[in-house]
Amino acid sequence: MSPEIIAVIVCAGAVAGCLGGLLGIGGGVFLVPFLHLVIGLPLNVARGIGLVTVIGTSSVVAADATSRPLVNLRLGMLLQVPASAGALAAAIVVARLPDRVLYVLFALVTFVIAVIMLTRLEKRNVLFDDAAAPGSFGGRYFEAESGREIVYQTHRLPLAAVVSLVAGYVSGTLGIGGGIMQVPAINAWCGVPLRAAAATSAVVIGITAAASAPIYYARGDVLLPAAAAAVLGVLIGSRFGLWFGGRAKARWLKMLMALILAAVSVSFLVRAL
Amino acid sequence: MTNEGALERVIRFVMVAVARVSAALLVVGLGWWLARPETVGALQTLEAGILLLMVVPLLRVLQSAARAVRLQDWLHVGTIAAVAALLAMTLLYASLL
Repeated sequence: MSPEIIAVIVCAGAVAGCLGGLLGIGGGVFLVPFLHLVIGLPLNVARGIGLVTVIGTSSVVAADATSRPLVNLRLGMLLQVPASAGALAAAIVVARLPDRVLYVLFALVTFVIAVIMLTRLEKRNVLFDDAAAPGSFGGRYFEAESGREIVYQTHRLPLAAVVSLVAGYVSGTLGIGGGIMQVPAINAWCGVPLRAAAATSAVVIGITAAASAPIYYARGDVLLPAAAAAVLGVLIGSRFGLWFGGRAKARWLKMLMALILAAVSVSFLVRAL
Repeated sequence: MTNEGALERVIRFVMVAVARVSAALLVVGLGWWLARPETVGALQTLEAGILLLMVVPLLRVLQSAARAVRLQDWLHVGTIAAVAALLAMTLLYASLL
């Protein structure tokens, strides 16, 4: 692997980290296709590196004090139980799945999430009554965009648990952060505002990734120089994404996420055919 | 918003330190590997950096557990214990490969 390729991976990691920090989805969904389709790394290696970078993005967010009021750790840990179980199961069985099946799965998952995001552009999921009770798994935080305190309640937690189980399985199978499914699902179906969903997901996806990354590592699927380059890029990019995420409008974040997911979906579908 | 307890503060400090040491090892290891790709020490440095990075989410779980116990939020303690058990199973399975 040449120094030029390492430099390209650092840059790709920075872009993925920025998008991951911005959208709370870890960045693996952008980096894994890039490492496999553009750099030419085997899919199992790209997935192993993707999981390690998800841990990197999550570490930055978890250490960042500004995101704490947004993070709903009680809800995040509850959903982490099925997510970790799914990730562990996936890491054990993924070695038996052919690449073509994974391509189709990747294309399908990203397309469905893109459609969900586009259909929810105007939905806010917030209560503008400061005295409203958030309930056991809801929360409250100050939102700079509207200049007021946001209170939200959670609904349909069993559905969120099922989505988290699938998200964990997809994370362990494709080497991406489970946030790609969890963020839209808990935003659209459970009533958690996008910023809170993204911040919570960004913290807990590192734990989801940690439920499968050691298995990839033990199999020799984490190519050390490429993984180091990707992680260093992600560490730089996710700080910028985190900073920008607090200032961008939720509508634009959703549109950006949907567009990127649609592009990833098409690229994997083409690869599968 | 509940204040952070002493144990949580210590774990957070360790978590941030581990993440920073991991990043430093990755920078040093990558530079070393680019200069001398055949050196075993460079790969060992990179390996240490990646392994330390994987420890960070485990510390995050530990920090959450400390907070939940301090607040006597037993439902939260239960969910964290379940997550910890799943992570332990991952490490056990990986060690058998």
